[in-house]
Amino acid sequence: MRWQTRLSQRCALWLVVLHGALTWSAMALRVDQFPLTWAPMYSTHVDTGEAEHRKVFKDKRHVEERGWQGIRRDGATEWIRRRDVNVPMRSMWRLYYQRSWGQPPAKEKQKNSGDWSLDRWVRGLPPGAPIYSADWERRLLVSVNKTLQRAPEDADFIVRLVAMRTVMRFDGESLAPLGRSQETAEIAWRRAWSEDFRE
Amino acid sequence: MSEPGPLSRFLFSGGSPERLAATRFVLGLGLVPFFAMQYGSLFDFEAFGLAWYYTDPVWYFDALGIRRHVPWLAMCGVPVLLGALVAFALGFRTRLAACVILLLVLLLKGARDSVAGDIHHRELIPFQVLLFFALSRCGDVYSLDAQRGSRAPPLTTWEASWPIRASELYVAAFYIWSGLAKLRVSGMAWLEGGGGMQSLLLQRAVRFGLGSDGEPAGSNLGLWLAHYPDALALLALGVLAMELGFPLVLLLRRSWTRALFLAGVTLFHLANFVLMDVQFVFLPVVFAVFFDPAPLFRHRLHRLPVPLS
Repeated sequence: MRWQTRLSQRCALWLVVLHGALTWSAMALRVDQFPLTWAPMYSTHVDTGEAEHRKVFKDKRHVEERGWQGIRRDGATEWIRRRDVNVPMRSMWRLYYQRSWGQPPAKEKQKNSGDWSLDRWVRGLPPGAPIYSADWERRLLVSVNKTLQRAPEDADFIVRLVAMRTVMRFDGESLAPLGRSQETAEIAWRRAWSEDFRE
Repeated sequence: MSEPGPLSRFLFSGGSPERLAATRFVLGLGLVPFFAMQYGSLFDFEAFGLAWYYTDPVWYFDALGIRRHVPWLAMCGVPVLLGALVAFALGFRTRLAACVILLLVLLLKGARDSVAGDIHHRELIPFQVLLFFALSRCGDVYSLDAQRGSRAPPLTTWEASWPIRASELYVAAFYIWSGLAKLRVSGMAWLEGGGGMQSLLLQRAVRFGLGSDGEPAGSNLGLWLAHYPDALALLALGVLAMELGFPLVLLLRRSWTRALFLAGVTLFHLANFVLMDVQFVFLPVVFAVFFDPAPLFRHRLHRLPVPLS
């Protein structure tokens, strides 16, 4: 099969003009849906003025050998490792060390930051109002249970997920290590979520 | 007949069939390592294991009702994508190859990003550039398609120019949007703390913890640089200036000045990769659209046929 379609010069011009109008409009309106974007690279940085940096250690061994601690509906516990849910390590970092702690993807932070109002005005939102939000706890529990093919009425349905991490604190000025601590996150299933739990 | 406007003059001049073919060749082969890097993580699944239920599917997966990852399908898609890039480079079923590439980028990007809900922007420029090339007659000249006895008429200058020029415009827009986004989101706070570079460098350096000697398991170089906030602020200013000033590259007439500017941008992506694992490292292959690579391939190009007139 060979497609021999030829664009006329006028058609090529219109195509480029329309493409430009579409992509620049997406930029103005803060559309961030592939293949359109308004923030192609890192853009979020607001100085929080905190006296120290808190940095999370990522423990590959823990994620591979233990992972989340899942508490089932029948009260039993099990470890849910990366390979139990069959996700790549790069995604597991984000699921375990970010979503488990309610930390959204960078895109959500970018969409909701700033108070420039054209994009909000188009959506009928006041300046500064969040444009995007998602219940990451629910999404994570739904993903884990649906991947493991468990329904809310099953005895082995995961009703709680527990994640652990090590956080290192550094001095905000000298970056000298100040100490490390263990933190635990726990997300729990809510009864209301069972109503529309379906494939 | 009216005089063409400035956009028409820009779009429909500056190219040649040789340049279009050579750019197609460079893009096709140059994007092989780029996409191999982007989708390498898709091989980190067990091919016939459980199908992960996407945490936040990309919009087109959501619209199509694609809710689960099919590991073996994504794994098959990667070599097909790389093969299609080679076919595109050689001009074999060029338009079909370009369409296959575009569809597979949508599929593989969706599969990768839907797992945890992150949206990455690294594929944007290659996608849009390949879209322009797919709509052009880049496969009608110095290609295996032409060798197979195409009866297509010879390319005119405007036909050889517009896909390259449209790509130049998009690349310039991509960088200026990056600068504008920094101003919209962070404002001048972007410059404080080096645009978050200090925090990011520190995070990347210690993300795998500290060794028994107290040194970070990540990049020591990143940790060293994080100690110089003034230098980082200067770098952040440089990045912002580079992004906002990128469209000036369209006005640079001399190849060496363009090369110098784009070498600086390439160095920026390389440093981001080494220090912060930001995976734009192979993206600069798309800067081929700002040059005429034909002289590099002149002897080889003329062994390939042009369309029969």
